[in-house]
Amino acid sequence: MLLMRFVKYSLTDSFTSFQNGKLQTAFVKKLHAGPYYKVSKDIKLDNLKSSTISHKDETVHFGFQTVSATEKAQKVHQVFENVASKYDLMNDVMSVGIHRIWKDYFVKKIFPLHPGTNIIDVAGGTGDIAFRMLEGLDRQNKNSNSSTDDDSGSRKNTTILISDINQAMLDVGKKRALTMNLQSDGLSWLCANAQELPLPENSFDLYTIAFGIRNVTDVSKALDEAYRILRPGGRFMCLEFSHVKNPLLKWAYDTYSFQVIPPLGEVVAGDWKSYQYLVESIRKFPTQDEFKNMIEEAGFRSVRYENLSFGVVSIHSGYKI
Amino acid sequence: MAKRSCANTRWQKEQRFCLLTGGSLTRGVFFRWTPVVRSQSTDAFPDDSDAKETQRLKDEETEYENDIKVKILDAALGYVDISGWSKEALAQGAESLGYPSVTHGLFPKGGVELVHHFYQRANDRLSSELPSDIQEAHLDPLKAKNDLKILRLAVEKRLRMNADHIFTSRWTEALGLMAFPPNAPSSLKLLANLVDEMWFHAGDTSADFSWYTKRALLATVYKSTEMSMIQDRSDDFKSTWEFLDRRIDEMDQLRDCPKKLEEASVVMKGFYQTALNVIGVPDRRKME
Repeated sequence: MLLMRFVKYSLTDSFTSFQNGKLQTAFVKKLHAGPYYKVSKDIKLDNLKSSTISHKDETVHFGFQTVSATEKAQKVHQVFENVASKYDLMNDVMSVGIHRIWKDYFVKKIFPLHPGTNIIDVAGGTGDIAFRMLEGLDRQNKNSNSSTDDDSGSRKNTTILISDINQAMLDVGKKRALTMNLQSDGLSWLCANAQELPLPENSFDLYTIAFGIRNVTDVSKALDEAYRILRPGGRFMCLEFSHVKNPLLKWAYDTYSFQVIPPLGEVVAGDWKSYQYLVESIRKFPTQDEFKNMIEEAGFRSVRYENLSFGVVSIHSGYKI
Repeated sequence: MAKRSCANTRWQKEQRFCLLTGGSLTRGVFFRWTPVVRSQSTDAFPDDSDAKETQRLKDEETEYENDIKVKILDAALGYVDISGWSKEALAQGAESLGYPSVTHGLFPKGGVELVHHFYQRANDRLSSELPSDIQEAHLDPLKAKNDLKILRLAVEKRLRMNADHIFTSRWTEALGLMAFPPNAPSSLKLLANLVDEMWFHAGDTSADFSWYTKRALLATVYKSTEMSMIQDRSDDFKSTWEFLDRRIDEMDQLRDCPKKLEEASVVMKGFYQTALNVIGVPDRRKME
């Protein structure tokens, strides 16, 4: 019976009907009939328009809902607080491991990297990008050390600062760093908001942000901050989910996003709503060209983007020159 | 940090809708680059009569970006013998100018952009120096047979510009990069521009199909001489220049080919008529 309803929803209704949560409650009830049912301590979506919202607050989108700016920040914080422990596992499950290929490609574009480069990886909580950069530097040193006599290698002077607004994500990243065999002397951690980084201007050569910028309340502010802390000649690189143009692929992608990912979230991490937010926030993010314009407005030049996987993911890159 | 004319004001795009055409042109909006004043409101303005101004500003932006790219490429050429035609050389070139090494990302295709830049620079040098060389050699393009002499001069001059990289064995790498399928169209374009330039200086004014055949012919001569040069171990590439002389002579012989074909075709026609007469097929024209 549940399967029939599932099929009926997927074939006849549009995916927006899932917001009602009808399928969700039915699925969740059937699935978690036993002792494995976890009370998800996440966002209370029922009392959106509480009386505490002041009229001065701008409204922004939180997935497909509209909330005030301050509330979005809190909600996003809550989402990542909830998903932090299972973040990497869920990434693997949702993207069938393809996120690793995306991130590998993203990091490969940075190399060759010379000693003395200062890198900041924003919203890099669990350290995926930063660890790949460290591995890449190791590989680069191994290749070049055969010709030069420098035994400390170019790693010595390259610093990577991992910043995230959520301490829980950073904690997961620190734990992972310990288990990996990488030399992490150039690695540092910072809990900060991407819209207001407590860092001096003109202090970094490379600013990367992977799958983080769509969670920021005011994207332009984050881009302005990126421009501020980069040195002249510095590079801004952003890896983010984006829009698929091809209608057939789009339909398949949407179906997968709205039918499969939230239930998977419930099964694997016990959290339907966070993953619902995730797929909705992808739809709300500007298109590739719109985002490119936003980056240019912040002052970056030579801005270009590259689609991966037919537009599911897109890499935007700009220079402060 | 090296000095550079970095525009310190940040420009923002203001969307302005053109009401003259009822709402949208091309992609729908015109952009104007204005300095960022964050308190400024971004309401749409109803007037827009400065499409030229917008285009001029956009062109300035592109020119500014290109200037920086050219500076980095020129600096990177100095590192080619150490690091080859690669992103490494571009990174080193950028660092020598004071930019962080990540600036090599301005050239997404990597080393091949450096090769094309070098090729273009050499072509430009040829265009500027060739007229004076022709005058020195007292060759007049209008006289017969002199065009081949000018071509020989031009090909030798252009190939000598690659000599430095041949000595460091980096030119074969460059040729390989240019032949790589994604890069081949742009490389062919550079070659086409080069041979066109050479024929222009040799005084070519043809307006028929021979325009194409001449350039194709010269391109094959140039390429084959280049191939000979990279394998050449003789003193000052002597055997390459002898090879070039032989190719130019062949070009000369090929030019007489149409005349010879015409003569040949008259003879063939005669044979054909004789054969018909022998068989006994009457010639219809004579019958009338």
